[in-house]
Amino acid sequence: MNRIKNKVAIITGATSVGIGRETALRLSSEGALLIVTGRNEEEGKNTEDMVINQGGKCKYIKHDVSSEENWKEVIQETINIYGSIDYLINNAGQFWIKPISETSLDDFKQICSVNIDGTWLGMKHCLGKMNDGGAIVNVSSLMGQMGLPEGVGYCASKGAVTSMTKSVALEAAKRKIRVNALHPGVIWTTMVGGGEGGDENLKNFFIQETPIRMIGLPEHMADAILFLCASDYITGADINVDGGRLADGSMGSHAE
Amino acid sequence: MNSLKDKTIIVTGGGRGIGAAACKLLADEGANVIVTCRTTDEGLSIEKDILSRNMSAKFISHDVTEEESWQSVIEETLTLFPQIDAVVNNAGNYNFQSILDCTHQSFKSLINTSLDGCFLGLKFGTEAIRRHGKGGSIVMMSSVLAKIGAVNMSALSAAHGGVKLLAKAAACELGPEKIRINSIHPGLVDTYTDEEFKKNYPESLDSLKYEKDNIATIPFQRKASCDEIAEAIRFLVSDESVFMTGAEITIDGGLIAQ
Repeated sequence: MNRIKNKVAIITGATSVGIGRETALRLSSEGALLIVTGRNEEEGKNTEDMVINQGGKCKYIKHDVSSEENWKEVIQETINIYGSIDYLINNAGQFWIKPISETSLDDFKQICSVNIDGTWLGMKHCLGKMNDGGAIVNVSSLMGQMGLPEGVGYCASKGAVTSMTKSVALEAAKRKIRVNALHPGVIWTTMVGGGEGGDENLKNFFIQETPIRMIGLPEHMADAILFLCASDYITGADINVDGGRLADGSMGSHAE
Repeated sequence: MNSLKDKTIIVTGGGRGIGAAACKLLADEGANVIVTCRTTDEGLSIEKDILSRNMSAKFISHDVTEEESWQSVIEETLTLFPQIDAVVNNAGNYNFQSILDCTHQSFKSLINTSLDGCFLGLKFGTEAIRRHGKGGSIVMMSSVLAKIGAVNMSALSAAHGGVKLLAKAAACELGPEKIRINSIHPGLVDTYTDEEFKKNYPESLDSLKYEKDNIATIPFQRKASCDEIAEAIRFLVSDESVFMTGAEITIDGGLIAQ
């Protein structure tokens, strides 16, 4: 398989057992050359080692996506190592829920700085350096398209990601750079209290309220991200990989 | 390439255009492809093309608007292969007429092929997939016209809007059985030469000028190729999309993002 052989991809938020790491392994298995970023150095190195151990090329760079200086360094180092950029996977994100009355303005600004500013900065600084025909995948959320009680910060920030994706898609179209939003449903990672050793009751609750009666896994997202990287004519689109939850439109209606 | 190895997949409208491109791609990925359409010479030509590359295909004559025809396609497929894994409801008709010019008969004819045909494919496809109980994938070919309006495309919009929500309703209903239903929404697709279009859709010749005039409005400044739509079909029938149901893949070069 070599749908994206020798293409250079930057993947943010690749420093834990989750979508970023799984995407790194998937894109590498198709021949991509990787830069993986995130704040946790130990886990970032682990991701780098895992990719190299399966025969891929990968370099971890410590990165806070809300820092413009950090972004400039990541892009410069990518150019230094590989010479160009083809794909940007804006995956790093923050999630928490809290009643709006108990959410401070600093809380709200914090989640927006990671989810909105982080995505915006990545696109702003990468686009000028990307090869024509490249692709940006912004990992938004099902919650960028619907409401979640006590999720005002998360929903607002992901809604912004979904919306700016379309604007940048139009701006980048003249260079045939594709920009799309991926909308995961509940993915069993530490972000939602899942992953290895996660609460089985919680997992079963999520399964029962999802039409396809499955829990989403990072590898499901990685497959969709690969699809979006390799597809030449999809841009400005919203791709839901959510087991049918948005189609169902009634979260929790299946839960017993 | 074997992302679909040993899967048996029915593709309606497989004799030309997107359907033909999908049949060839799915076969190249290892699937047993059942090519169905009404025009025997076109269907046989695609079957022959696939067999010549030592891949697996069988043409079956099929009118997607007839229940008996669906029954025959399912039965004949199951005499050849042990189970049916996916159905691609791709067959559709075309109409480019103002509301006043479009006769009720034309409207009903379009709905009959593009919406009723998808409903029957969903119904018979579900029954077939249920026989083995291991789940499967049904792909519904819709259009960007399920999301936006366009002049002279009222019948198409009605049909494709229906297909989109039929897919979502079915996704909710069939999810627990691991039968996934997703829709694809192409914008303009480079399907036919002008001569082929004139032969296939003599009532809709104004569409040729419309399409040429509107390419400039597509952010990508070109139509999609049939192969690009076929790749989305491949993704949706493959195990790469096992957590995806009730979803839409819009492939329009940015047309409706603006």
